[in-house]
Amino acid sequence: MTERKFKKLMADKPYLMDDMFQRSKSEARRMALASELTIEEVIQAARQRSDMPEQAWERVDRALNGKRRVGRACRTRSRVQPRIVRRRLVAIAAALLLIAAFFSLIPSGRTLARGAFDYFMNIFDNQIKIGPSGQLTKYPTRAAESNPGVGEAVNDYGDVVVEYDDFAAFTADLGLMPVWLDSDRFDCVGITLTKYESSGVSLSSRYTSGDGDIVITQKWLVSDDMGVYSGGDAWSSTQILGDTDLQYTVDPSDGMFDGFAILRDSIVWIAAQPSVDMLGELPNLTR
Amino acid sequence: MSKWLSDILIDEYPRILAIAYTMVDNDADARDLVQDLAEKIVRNDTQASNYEKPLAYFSKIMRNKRRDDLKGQARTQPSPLEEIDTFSTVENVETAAQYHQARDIFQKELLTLSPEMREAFMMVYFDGFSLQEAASFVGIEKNTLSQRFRRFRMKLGRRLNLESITLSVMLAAFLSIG
Repeated sequence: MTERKFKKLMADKPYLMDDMFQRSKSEARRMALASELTIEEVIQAARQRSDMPEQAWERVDRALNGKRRVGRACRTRSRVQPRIVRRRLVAIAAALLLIAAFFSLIPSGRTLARGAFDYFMNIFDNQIKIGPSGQLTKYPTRAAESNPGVGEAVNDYGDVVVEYDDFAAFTADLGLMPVWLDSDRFDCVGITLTKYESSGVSLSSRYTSGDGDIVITQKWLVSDDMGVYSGGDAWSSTQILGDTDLQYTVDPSDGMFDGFAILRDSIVWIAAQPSVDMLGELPNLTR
Repeated sequence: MSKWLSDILIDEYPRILAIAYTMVDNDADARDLVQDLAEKIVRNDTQASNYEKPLAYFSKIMRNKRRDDLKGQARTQPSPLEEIDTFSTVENVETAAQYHQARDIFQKELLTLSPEMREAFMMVYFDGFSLQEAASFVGIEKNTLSQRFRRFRMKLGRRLNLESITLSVMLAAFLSIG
């Protein structure tokens, strides 16, 4: 049994190792996404039963205040510097290329991919929940290897991270079409691809101007639901890219713009600082 | 600015909660595990860069806590616990039999490893530690650990294949009699 097969077996059936385990990691991820238990509640309960002084919790309080939105966490995550750079086996690189080719070039592969990306989006309270439309995922359950290739790195979370100089290089690599901002006023200052171990890939592009910053994150999910949160509770709708609905809100606590859209093959998430006229920049989105 | 473990706890909360859910079967127990983890992290908060894989470290803390909880429950339990079959989606006899057989083989093979090696096994294959970290834990070279794991996987693979064939023959015989 190969290392890869064995790791997959352990992720799918950890209860084979020990009766202590109850379910597969993917099932556990689904439960965690569906759970209403928040980190704030967990910290509050831990604080109440702890004998530590209040000062000990100050760093956590600051981090919780800073969290507020998933967008910020995502931007922070994309800046994590690589710690280990290793060569990936040629065979694995070839396998990934074959998978990319299968899903982009072969008609039946494209049909499969479209089925796998048939997502729905629900808005309730101030959260958006995005999940597959009931069908079984047909996409490979493992989109990335934790062994990086040339030009790749592994971040603190074990995900493979690739920095691109331009979008064409990304498209040439993966055969996926990114959404990006073609604006005279904003300069693109970073394009980062993150290959999550089991849930797909995410491309994050960052733009800056004298007005502030914009971050566009596009996720090609393979098996996970996705929950996003904004402090705003009044969601509005507009169209981007000609015919795609964008649900957006402005967080009243800090004025940040959050917008989400489902494309045919992916999910787009736009965050902008309060000083940015994001609605004015939406027509500059292109694909 | 470098991150601290408490920052990772907050940023990666959904993934941490998911790790808890692999070990427990209800929200209350998951909450207890993550609460305990949060308290331990706040008590010993340090730079995340001290850990190659902070999430693996969190997983190990929760796993040890869960094991302690189960041991505590077993001690206070006056009568043997009713065995709950975690393989709840059994659809037919063959699947159930294969599952139980695979689990028995797996756990028996694990018992052939020393306690340190078993822990290293859990660290790599459940928590997600690197081979290097697990090797440091056991006190052996990374390559040695890698070789031992490789031998274990091969042996296990052979046994599972063999038993699978045996079971298939037995089931075929049973069904033909039925």
